[in-house]
Amino acid sequence: MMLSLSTVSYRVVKYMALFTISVAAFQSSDMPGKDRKLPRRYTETITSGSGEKSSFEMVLIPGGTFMMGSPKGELGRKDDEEPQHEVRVDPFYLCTTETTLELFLAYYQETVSAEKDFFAAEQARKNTEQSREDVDAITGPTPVYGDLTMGYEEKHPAIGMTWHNAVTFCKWLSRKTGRVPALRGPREYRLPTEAEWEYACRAGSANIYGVGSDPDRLADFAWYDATADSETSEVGKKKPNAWGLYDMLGNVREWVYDFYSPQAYRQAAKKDPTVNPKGPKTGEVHAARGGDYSSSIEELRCASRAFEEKWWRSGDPQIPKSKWWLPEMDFIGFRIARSTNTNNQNARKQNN
Amino acid sequence: MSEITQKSTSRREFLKSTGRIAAASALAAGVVPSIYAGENNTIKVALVGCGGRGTGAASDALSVKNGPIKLVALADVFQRRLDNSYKNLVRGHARQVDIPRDRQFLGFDGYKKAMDCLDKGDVVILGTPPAFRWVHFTYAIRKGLNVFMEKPITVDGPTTRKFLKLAEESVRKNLKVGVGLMSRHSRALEELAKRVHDGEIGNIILQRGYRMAGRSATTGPKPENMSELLYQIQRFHSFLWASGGMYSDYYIHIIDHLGWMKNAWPVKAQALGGRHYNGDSVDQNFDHYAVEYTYSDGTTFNFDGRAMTGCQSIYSSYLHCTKGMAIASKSGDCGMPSSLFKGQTPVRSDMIWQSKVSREESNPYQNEWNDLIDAIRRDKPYNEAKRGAEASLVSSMGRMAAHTGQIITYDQILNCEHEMAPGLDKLTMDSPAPLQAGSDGKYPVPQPGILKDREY
Repeated sequence: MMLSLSTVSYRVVKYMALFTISVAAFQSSDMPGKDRKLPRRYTETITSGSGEKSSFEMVLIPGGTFMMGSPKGELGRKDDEEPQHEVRVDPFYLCTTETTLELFLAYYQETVSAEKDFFAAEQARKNTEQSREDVDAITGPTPVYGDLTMGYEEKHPAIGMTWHNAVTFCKWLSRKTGRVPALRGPREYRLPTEAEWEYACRAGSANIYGVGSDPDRLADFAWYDATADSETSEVGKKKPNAWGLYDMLGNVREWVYDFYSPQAYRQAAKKDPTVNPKGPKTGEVHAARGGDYSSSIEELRCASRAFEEKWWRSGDPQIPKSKWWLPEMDFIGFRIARSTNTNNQNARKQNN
Repeated sequence: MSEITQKSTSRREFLKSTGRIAAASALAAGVVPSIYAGENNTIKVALVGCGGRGTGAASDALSVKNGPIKLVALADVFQRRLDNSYKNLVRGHARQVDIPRDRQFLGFDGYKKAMDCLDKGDVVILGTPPAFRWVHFTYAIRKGLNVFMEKPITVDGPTTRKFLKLAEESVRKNLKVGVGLMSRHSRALEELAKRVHDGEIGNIILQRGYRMAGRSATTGPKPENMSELLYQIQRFHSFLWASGGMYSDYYIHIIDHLGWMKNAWPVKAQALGGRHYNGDSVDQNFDHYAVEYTYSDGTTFNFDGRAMTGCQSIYSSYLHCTKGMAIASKSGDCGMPSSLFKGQTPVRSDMIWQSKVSREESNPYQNEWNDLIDAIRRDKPYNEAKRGAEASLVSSMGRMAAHTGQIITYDQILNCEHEMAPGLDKLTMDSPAPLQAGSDGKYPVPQPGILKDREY
């Protein structure tokens, strides 16, 4: 907290004045009353094709405003984290854990396409074109090259999927749970935006790791190079952050919705404040946040950004590279989010 | 014992005549320096077999950073594969791809035309199904080309015998030959091999290898608008003549690197296997295999393969030794990290070493190309053909043991008379397919205990 206070910017001062909030932090959540009708948390259970049940828990993240990016002087800060800028985020639900292998295997086994040769691929493409709006016809991943668990148990995070695969999982899950409005709606399961992710990671705090600024405390909250055995852990084994979210830092990196651009914050900062930003409209690769089991402490800062790098494809010896899999990459996973009803209007107003 | 016909060539004689290590024989032969690419130092590359893996290998070739290298010709028997490969390679390496239409060759003789675009010392990539490897390698040797060939490189005894002779010839001509058994270029496995060979955990007494994952290598019936021959080539994982089947194509990496760790090839195999869920698929594979290989010192190597969705997945390899154990591939064909443990259980507290590989050298598919091109430019002995043929043969040995239900020795598989697809060097678009369906429209499958000296 000391470090944060020492770096309060003029923008923060302006913000504090504007809302006349008498706390010495540069972010706040909406008052609880606003989201009164929404359940604080709920459990979703799905039954796989073979009859096995798996559950996950979604927790309501209150809407609010925060400073995205890192302040000047934060140890380990990189250029793509600046400028620190004010962002407003509507309430949304976020899963308390990273998506598990158990859940991902249920998806894989229900949707995997039987063959990947080009006749089958062609047929699948035709099917997709014919039924683009038909949520019952999700074209699932091609068979994984080898073992998608990479030897991990089912309560460990799902790993090695491309961003596209993670997004397809969300579509499947929305259908599976009936959370599919007639038209593409805001209540489907989806990836969190990069802003939502960082907001949830900070959990109302203004410190470096969201659970404090003291690296020594991180061992209680995160699997990273100092605490992990060069591999992922079962999800939810460390302490959660203030909003009940486990493993936001470490374990696996988490895909977020946004394309990655090192300039993204410079663009976003032109608005004051930026409301529900979704990142650049186009891009080559997506952002993945939170660091992983092998990360150094700098990569575990809430503000630290990462993105798909070329070597993430190095376990795939084919060209074109798989649209679905990042073979051998056991450090990349994701966490699911879902919008609430209350932000329909804001979601539509959302601009970049 | 099986009823396999024995020929006079024994394994020992083969080893004696071909030399223990190809590199050593190349040195011993007093080789002449190779020439690459005429007056300048640009290496020209041609790709024969433009599927996903061949195209990936071409991309890796063009990513080698030690001098100018460009791709000048493509060959395949499917127009669409040619087109897609070209498109994707241009996308990734526009400035290094120089392949006008008249250097994109369609048809069974396309390999000759593509290699004719090269000069002595250039490189041809053989990325077709393994059945064609000896045909294309024969021509590459005649043209004095260096070669990168995808694995496996043989599918049965007769093609292995041919290949071992070709391998000797390629060594005599000082050709550099890389085989896509990339475990051998994993920096983690290289260090593991050194530590194991130095006796850090004693002598190997048991090896275990697994590739057990979802259903694979299946195929539906032939589409109407396609010839039987092209259909079987396109679905090569499903047909034993084309690829050695799922067993050879999927399991060879772990078989290869465990043989490397042992510094020997198994001398015999006995095996279980069957087809439990073949459903509508018309492929020739079993969907599960359990093979026990035995080395000449009596120690064993167990390989389990299973292609059943929903069952426990295991895809990794292990060594158990007199003073500890090792994880060779943690996950996948050669997935890092490799590690050593002082007990027989891989627990963290007993770990005595774990591989650490720099990001630059973490991709074995790129390493194998960096190593090959470096050997070409600096004229270092480099020929993996013999070793690749042996790894392919040992794979066939386990497969045949499962498919026949017999004990199959190294000498038996090497001297086996059943050539699954003779005459591939004379194939045209109009040729009949090497495998014919029965009157019920189904392709012959292995019958353990009934067919003992051939797999179908």
